[in-house]
Amino acid sequence: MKRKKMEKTSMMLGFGITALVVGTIVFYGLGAASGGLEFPEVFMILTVIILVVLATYTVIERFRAYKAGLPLKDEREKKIWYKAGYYSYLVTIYLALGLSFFSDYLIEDLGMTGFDIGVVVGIIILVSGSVFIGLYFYFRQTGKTE
Amino acid sequence: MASIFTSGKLARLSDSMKTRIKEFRDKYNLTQEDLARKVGVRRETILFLEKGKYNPSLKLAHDVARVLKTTIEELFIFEKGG
Repeated sequence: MKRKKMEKTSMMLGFGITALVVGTIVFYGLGAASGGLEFPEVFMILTVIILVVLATYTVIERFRAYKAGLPLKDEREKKIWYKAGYYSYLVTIYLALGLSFFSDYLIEDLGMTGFDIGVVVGIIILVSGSVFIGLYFYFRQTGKTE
Repeated sequence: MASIFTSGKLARLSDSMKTRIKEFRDKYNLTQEDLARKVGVRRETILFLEKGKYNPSLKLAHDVARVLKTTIEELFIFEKGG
């Protein structure tokens, strides 16, 4: 009974967060489009859209499992989450190290005066999110959980 | 039949795992979803177990065997990895 309640709460949270993210992207996209989009912004918005589509697919799939009386997570699903999380954590660490190590070269080539903290945080969130979602679907399809 | 345990050491659970889940499932007229619901896992887990592409925990192997009214050794066949 307690598990059912937790699963229902988790489902509602999943739908709520997805709706909030989609709404934010739509408003941001509309605002940015009126001012003219540049390549980095288009790339960022596309990446976020792909992430949101995949996350929405996962939420819908979980809703179907919930309706069918199946658990939202089982031991295989947990293993996949942990494995994808482990690799995305490693990628994030190396990315942060790489950004700090190559920042001088990147700044010279890009003609920037320095990395804005927002840009660094944005890059890290997008890359680690993409790696996590990508690996999650890869491990799920191939069954490579060991 | 190879055992999970060989010479007191846990055998390497390589790709050479075979299961008889489908055979037992057919015997009791259960779909993958029915079995998943009875065991308390997702349908995909049963699918990958049947394909021999997922090494289950001892608890999951025990739960599947209990639902299919058999033993773990009857259900899962581990062949020694190379």
